[in-house]
Amino acid sequence: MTILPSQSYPFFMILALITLTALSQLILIPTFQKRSYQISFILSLLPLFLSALILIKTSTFNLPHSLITVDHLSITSIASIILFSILSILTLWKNEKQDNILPEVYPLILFSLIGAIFLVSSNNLLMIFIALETISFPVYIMVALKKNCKASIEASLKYFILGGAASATFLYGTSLIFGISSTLDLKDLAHSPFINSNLLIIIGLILIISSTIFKIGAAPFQAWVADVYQGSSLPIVSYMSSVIKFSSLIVLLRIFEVILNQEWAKYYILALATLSIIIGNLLALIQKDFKRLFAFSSIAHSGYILLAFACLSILSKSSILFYIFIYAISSIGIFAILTQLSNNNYQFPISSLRGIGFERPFLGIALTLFIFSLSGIPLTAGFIAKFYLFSSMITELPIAIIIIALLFSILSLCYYFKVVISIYSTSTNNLTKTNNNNLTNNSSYAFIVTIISFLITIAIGIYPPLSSF
Amino acid sequence: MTILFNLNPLLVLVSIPLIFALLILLLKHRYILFISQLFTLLLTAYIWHSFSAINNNSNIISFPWISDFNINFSLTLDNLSLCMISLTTIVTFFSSIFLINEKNHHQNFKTIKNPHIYIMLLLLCQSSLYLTFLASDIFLFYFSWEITLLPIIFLLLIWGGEKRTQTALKLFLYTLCGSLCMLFALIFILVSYYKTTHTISFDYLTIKDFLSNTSLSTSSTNTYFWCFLAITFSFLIKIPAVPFHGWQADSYEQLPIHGSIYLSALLAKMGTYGLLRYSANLFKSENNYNNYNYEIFIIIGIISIIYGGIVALKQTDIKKFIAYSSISHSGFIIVGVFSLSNIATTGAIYQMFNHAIYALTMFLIAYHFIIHFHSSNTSNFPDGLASKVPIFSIIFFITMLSSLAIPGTNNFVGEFMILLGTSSKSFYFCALAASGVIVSAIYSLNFYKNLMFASNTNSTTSASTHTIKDLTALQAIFFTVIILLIILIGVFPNNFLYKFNV
Repeated sequence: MTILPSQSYPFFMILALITLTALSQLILIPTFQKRSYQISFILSLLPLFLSALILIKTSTFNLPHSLITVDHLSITSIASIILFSILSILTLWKNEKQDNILPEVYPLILFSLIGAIFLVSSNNLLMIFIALETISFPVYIMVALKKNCKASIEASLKYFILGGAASATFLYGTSLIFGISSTLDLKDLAHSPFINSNLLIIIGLILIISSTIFKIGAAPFQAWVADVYQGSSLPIVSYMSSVIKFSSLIVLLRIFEVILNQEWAKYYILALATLSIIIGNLLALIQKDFKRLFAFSSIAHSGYILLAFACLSILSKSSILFYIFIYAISSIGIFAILTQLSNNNYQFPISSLRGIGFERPFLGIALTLFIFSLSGIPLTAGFIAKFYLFSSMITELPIAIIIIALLFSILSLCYYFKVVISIYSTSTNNLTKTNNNNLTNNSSYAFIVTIISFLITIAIGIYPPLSSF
Repeated sequence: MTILFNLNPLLVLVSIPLIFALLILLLKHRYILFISQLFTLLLTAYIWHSFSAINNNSNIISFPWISDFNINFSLTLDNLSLCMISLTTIVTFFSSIFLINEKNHHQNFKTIKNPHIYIMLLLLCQSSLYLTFLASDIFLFYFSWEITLLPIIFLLLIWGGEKRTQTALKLFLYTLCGSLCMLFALIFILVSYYKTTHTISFDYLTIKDFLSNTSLSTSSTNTYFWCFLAITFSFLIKIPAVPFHGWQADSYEQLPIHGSIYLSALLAKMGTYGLLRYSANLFKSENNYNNYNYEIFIIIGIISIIYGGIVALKQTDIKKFIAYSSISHSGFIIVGVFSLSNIATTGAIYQMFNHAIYALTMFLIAYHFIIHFHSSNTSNFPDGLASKVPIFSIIFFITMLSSLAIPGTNNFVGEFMILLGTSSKSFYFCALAASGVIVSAIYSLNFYKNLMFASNTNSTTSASTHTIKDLTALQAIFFTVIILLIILIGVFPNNFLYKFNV
């Protein structure tokens, strides 16, 4: 039994803090039924702020068999994940009551977060598997937490069944790899003599990659994305599209470090990326509902990120991190705005955005800015991210794929700008107006989230701190 | 304190509109716009006066911006930039004075909502225009090139006319389609620079050297040719040249007056500026003249001249008339740029200046009609306007004369130089382009005749309820200054040319 190294104390303190507060909430919520929302809210934010403070002291360390490997990548990721969670929880406040979501959603987010922290700080396949499950199970429940809503239960069931299949695939791949190379450690696997030649290992790796890509939500494993986004409450989508996507990409990054020079991996991921770009953009173009549009555009974004995986280098590694960070911030901002605009957090037709730009000028401008950020227009962080991502890979890729990426990003402007246009068209239906009246007083935290994401997007867009990635 | 005295005028020029944009948000008074324009005018006059082509330190400013990528915030002043920034200042100055005078300056004749945000957008646009014209870092150029569009899009979306959303979609898609192509091409060039030299540089001159050296080998020339095409494509959309002009007429029509002026007089010049600086210069070296098929672009220019003129002939909407005559005028600039002779290039720069003044004057004239008739459609205007508004019609006429390049007006000098330069390259191109002068005479005079003299038989009775007033004394002085500028540039070209000589 090895003793934990002293450098690892802050890391475990964070985990313990989050776990304990999450568990205590499960006891406190039934005890104080009247104030259960407030208690969970405070008890969820508090450990996150404390962990953010502790994180400053955290240094890198290694546990045997890479069960837990905290490197600089992990620390950056944990910081980002905690930031995303704080923003999502702030967005959730007051909306959960309105959506009839039980207060248990807060401890569930924390449990899922623990999984995410483990996920980004492990190099061991078994550990990654457990962490993936820890992330996913609370989310399956969170999607279905709305009482008496068929759509969300359907979405949850769909997500659960597909996610379960993906997990089984991951486990199967892991067992194949372990059976051949008798190691679960990704770093050992990289030096293993079997990796280049053995067909079973390659099959195992393909299974693992596919399962991770399922979590990211890229084609052809994208079937769940739109339905789940549509069926869940907006703040939960905001959590899913930031934390889960971010941490799954970190895992994919770690897996890809092992198979960096494999030709098959390159072609496999290129095919998936191109497919995602095409499917995501084309399907986003025909959507009438904003949440579905966002879901399909997120598939397209995953495609661009996967392109960078195909030509992985140190430069593209940090560009991937940067891109997904900016993407997450933009999506959190978008969902924070949407929660303020409507009290129906499930259906969100694009036409319901009509006239927002005149009735709520700041929200209109902020929403426009986030959409510009997603489409990569200067002055927003999304442009820097896109520039960084493409400059890290443009000479490595086949010219046909560059042209596909270019054409489809032009196509993406169409549906993004469709949203901007409805923001600034004169409103014909008074749906939004009536909603605004109910919501002016109880969306203050979502407003703060909007401002924070807005400032981050602009600040990074003007003066990007690239070196911290 | 030493920093205060050592302030670089270029940096100050870029930051003045920004500072005043913040101020106007705080103080919410529209005279702030006027003060800011006064500052920029004085500063531009100072820069114009103190400029000399010899390199001195005040012409260049550079400090690190994104240091990981070796991207610098670097501004360089040369003849071309000097011309562009003084043009920007003049156009913004005159259009802002107009904003001060007019209380009711909304296209739809409601009192304008949130005037301070409107003014803020104008100032932001001005600042990014300065940046675009001064940037000598390619990343900074692209960055400011793109953000210049954003205020215009917002002006269109918030204060635009009835069909603003469709128009905005068109404008956005057209220009960003071009911009994305340019972005990919620029990234490609910069990354291939990195691959060959293992250093990162976004500096214009460094990349230019790199391109002229590597294009010796034919294999790489081919890929750079595609980059060249992508970048030029983006500029041609912005100008716009003929096959890519679908967004233009509607945008001019739907935008509020200042948006139209900025878009036609300044943003379109970003396109021609880009053609000169990037398409014609960045890729220029002795041995790739023939590879790059510049003739195609001269032909595009000629088509623009003639097509724009013929379509302008048929227009009854005054804003659309300006749009199509602008296409025709910009065609001359394209021809001048790609003729690649010194005199034609100088003429092209001169013509940019002239067209900006033309667009400014014409839009202000159109605006005078619009505030009186509540429409820009000339078929609704009453008959025989010339006798009702004599001063106004004289000013309008002089503007029309300058549009058809009568000797003594500014356009004559520019078009003459362009034709002279083109003739040294190819007689046929010169002859075809010169036919544009005739076309412009036809459409300008015809439009003026129909509008000011003709008895409009179809004019409805509703139009006669609106009466037009002649210019007020202040407005007359205002227009006279612009007319004087037109004539001064036309009669004493040398006083301006020596600054533009490249």
